[in-house]
Amino acid sequence: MSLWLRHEKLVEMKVLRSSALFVAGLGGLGSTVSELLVRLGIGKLYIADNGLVDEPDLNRQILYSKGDIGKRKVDAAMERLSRLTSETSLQGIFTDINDERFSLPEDILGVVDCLDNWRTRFRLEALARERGIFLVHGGVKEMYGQVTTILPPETPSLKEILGEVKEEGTLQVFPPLVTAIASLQAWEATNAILGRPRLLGKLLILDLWAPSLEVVQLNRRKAEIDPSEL
Amino acid sequence: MKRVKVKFFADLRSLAKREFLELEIEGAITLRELLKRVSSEIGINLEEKLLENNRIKSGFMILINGRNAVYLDGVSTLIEEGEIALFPPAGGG
Repeated sequence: MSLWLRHEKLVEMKVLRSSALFVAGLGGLGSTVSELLVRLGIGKLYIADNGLVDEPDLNRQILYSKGDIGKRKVDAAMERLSRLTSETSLQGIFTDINDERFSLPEDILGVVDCLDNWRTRFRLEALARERGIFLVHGGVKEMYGQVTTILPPETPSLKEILGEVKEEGTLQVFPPLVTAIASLQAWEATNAILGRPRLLGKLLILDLWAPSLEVVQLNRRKAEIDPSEL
Repeated sequence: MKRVKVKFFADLRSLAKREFLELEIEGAITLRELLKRVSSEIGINLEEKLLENNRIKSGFMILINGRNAVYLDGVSTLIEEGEIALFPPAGGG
């Protein structure tokens, strides 16, 4: 019996099996994104974080359990992910993406932004843009969040879409919302790998309070923005 | 007369107590004027909520036909028709 018997007719497994992605951040979003991509059968996954597992993480960061408190997230995540299927080549990277020595691996098709602050997101975006690879952005707060795929010049940049963002520190986040946004990121990352991204130039907003799921059409600014302006 | 659809997301939807508001506009009005009209329709001071010193407050996204107003002409951006989206982007991960 195939490990992927129950979804192999829905996605081109051959393409997925030979693809590599980079997941930035192993918190609430990164935990679910990584687990889903491994279960889907992605060929290779780089996972990166610079933090340690803390007790308040356990409400939503599905890779970790009580015994992991105090461990590096990358180490605990590698332990858990390597036990799932043994079919994905995994590489854990304990790093700060803002560190100027950091660079993205050579063999990735794209990055998944599961970060929790804008400064690092914009740095990740700049690195992805230099490479010309896609970035699947996700963000969460309370009971809502957004997902979009960035691939300039085809799409606006994250900052062109979101405008003047604000760093907010520790937020309330509802665990089912976090895993829902992460699922949408894993869905979109798979779409992008398979060459059919659904959220290029579109901002998906999921609000579990309303409840509503809406897709807002984005447009590039009329004049090209100088990247240094952003 | 042309139509403008103003869509509210997240906290702004709870505040406005509706998903969207449709307005009829003659000619063109600025974003600031539009917010003033929307505020009086919904009974919430959106200018106070979204603007500060004649600028869009950080932490709020105002899309005018898919483009962020910050990179257009800010509160002076002229609007004739189409769709406006008001949303506070979520920053957590």
